[in-house]
Amino acid sequence: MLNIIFGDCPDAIYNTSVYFNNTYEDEWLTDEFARKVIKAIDKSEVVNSRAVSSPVLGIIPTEKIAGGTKTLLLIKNKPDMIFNASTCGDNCARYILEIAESTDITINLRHVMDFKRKKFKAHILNNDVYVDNYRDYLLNAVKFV
Amino acid sequence: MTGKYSIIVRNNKIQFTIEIERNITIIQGESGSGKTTLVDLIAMYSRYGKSSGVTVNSKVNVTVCNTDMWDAFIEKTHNSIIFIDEGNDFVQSAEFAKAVKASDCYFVIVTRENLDQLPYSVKSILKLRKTASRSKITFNRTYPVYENLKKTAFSERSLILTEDKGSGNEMFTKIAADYNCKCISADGKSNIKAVMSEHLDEHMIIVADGSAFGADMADVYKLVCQNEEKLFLYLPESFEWLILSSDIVRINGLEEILNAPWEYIDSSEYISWERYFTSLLETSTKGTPLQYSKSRLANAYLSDENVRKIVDTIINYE
Repeated sequence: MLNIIFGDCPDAIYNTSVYFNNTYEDEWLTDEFARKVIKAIDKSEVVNSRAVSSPVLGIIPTEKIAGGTKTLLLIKNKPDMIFNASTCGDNCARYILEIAESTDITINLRHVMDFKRKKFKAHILNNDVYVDNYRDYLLNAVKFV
Repeated sequence: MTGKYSIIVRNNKIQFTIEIERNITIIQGESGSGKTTLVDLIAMYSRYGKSSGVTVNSKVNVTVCNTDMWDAFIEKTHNSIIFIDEGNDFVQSAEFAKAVKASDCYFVIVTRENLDQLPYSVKSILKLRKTASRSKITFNRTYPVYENLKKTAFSERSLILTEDKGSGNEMFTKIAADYNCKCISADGKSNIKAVMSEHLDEHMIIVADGSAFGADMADVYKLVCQNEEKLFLYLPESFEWLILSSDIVRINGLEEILNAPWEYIDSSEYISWERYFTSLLETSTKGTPLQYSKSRLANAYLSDENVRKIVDTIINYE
């Protein structure tokens, strides 16, 4: 289930890029999910746990992957923590929903993310409302950001 | 600082072109579009100069604020363009807004958050897009996130929603009466979302000051997208800009100002273009029948001829 806290959230990690750089585990980079996300978001290939091959920048260290990708890997691998998912562009939204299909996660949004789907389920913790479509999600979200 | 700037930042693999014409610019967009790479390159150039291997072509100094001492950094930096990357939560604070207001610099902020404390323009919300790849270099440039907003004509079924009571609302109430429709005020731009949420299925024209509506735009635009056949945004720079653009008030050099406001609006004096146009209109009409006040519109503006001129400007607005 996808749980969302809109607006300020003192329990959330705000600067996910810095947190990722100092906490990621090597194996996060080499699993199927990471490879798929890095290919889709960064347009890059995972070389190994410490390096990614970018068509623009060449071989880059893992710390240089996109901020949104870092946040997705944190959400996937540390599901008990809350991360600022406003560091994710709308192109990350489908992967957040994918993680939430099999895991209970809570994200902090400081903007209204466009999930690009008319139907999806989310629990908005600010007002304890469950939504199952984009319109209801939007009408609730704009109250809190 | 005044002026419009085209900044080119490059190394031997990637190039960014950024077009800036206002004191506050926001860069948003999808993950992986190069926002952090851009700021990193400028930071390297800022620290190491030419020996960084980064080239920055700009008429003014370009730098990055990535320190906890951001307030001191901003205070000691002058006539520069300051970039701030995502992850710096101080950009949300009232203290930061105060520092921006007091500064003579331009600011380029990477964030998807709504910065409610800052009056930035809808037109200065940009995204990066790859334009080409050649000679082993990938070229990227900024584009406005919001452009070519759909237009509609006033009609009997329209509901016009204005930001505030006051002069703008008085004018649009008169226009609404002429078109047999209704005009209501949101009583503050932060209430627009709530009012829209209650009227999503009505034919509504939302009127707001585009030059200070940036923080509300993302949410309001998403609401508009829920019913694009019925919900429309009309976002002139400001109501005062609308009057100045409608050939109602005669001011020497006005056409030049309206064609290139960035040449005339000093960011250290006016935090937004809206404030400048208000000041220009107030000063220019003082002691005349068209004396302008934000709170109450002089009757002369509501003559049939002047209302027609305003409507013509709205119809022809791009």
